[in-house]
Amino acid sequence: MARNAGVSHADWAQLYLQPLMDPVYGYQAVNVEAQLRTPSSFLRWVHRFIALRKEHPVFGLGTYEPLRSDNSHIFAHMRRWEDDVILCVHNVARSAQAVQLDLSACEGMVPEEMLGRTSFPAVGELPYLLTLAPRGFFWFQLRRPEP
Amino acid sequence: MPEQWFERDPLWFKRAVFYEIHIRGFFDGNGDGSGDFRGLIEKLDYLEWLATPASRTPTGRSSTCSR
Repeated sequence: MARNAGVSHADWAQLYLQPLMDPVYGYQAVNVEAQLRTPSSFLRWVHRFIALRKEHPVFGLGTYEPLRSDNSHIFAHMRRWEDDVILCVHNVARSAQAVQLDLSACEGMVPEEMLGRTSFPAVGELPYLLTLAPRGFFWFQLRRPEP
Repeated sequence: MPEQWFERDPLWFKRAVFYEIHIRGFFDGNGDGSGDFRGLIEKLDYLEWLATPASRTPTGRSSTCSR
């Protein structure tokens, strides 16, 4: 590990801002080198999210349409821009939650989770059921099913 | 007055990703204990990496909802 967490070669006492030293968040535990090695790290997460945002201008330019939800802990909305249709579902509670969303306008479309690119069951006539982990969220791209 | 680039693309900020840097705490380029612009320049590769999508195979096309 480089001196002063790699931020400066100066003596510790000279530093404008000294790096954290506590055992949990101190630089020996939380640093760029370690986070780059760890696929689940916050830095790698931010990197993936910047990429996702750049890949989908809908997050900046798209229309915004809140969705009615039967669970007040769930915040759900759609974004649309050109051919991109995105469904965002967020659990703002600190407990796991289930929600049923009326996606009948998108019947037949297949939600694909945008970080792992996993396809979820196609939208049918019935309300769409999702379960979310505490503080969990899903961002789906809605796609036409493969022919 | 020549036309500015942002006049042609006034919504540029809606596609942009912003990264706020506290210069004095970011990276010390001259070893005096304070971050500086030289330090920022030395870390441009890192910032470029952060803003560059990781390689990902394109996954087909999307399409609009019928409404």
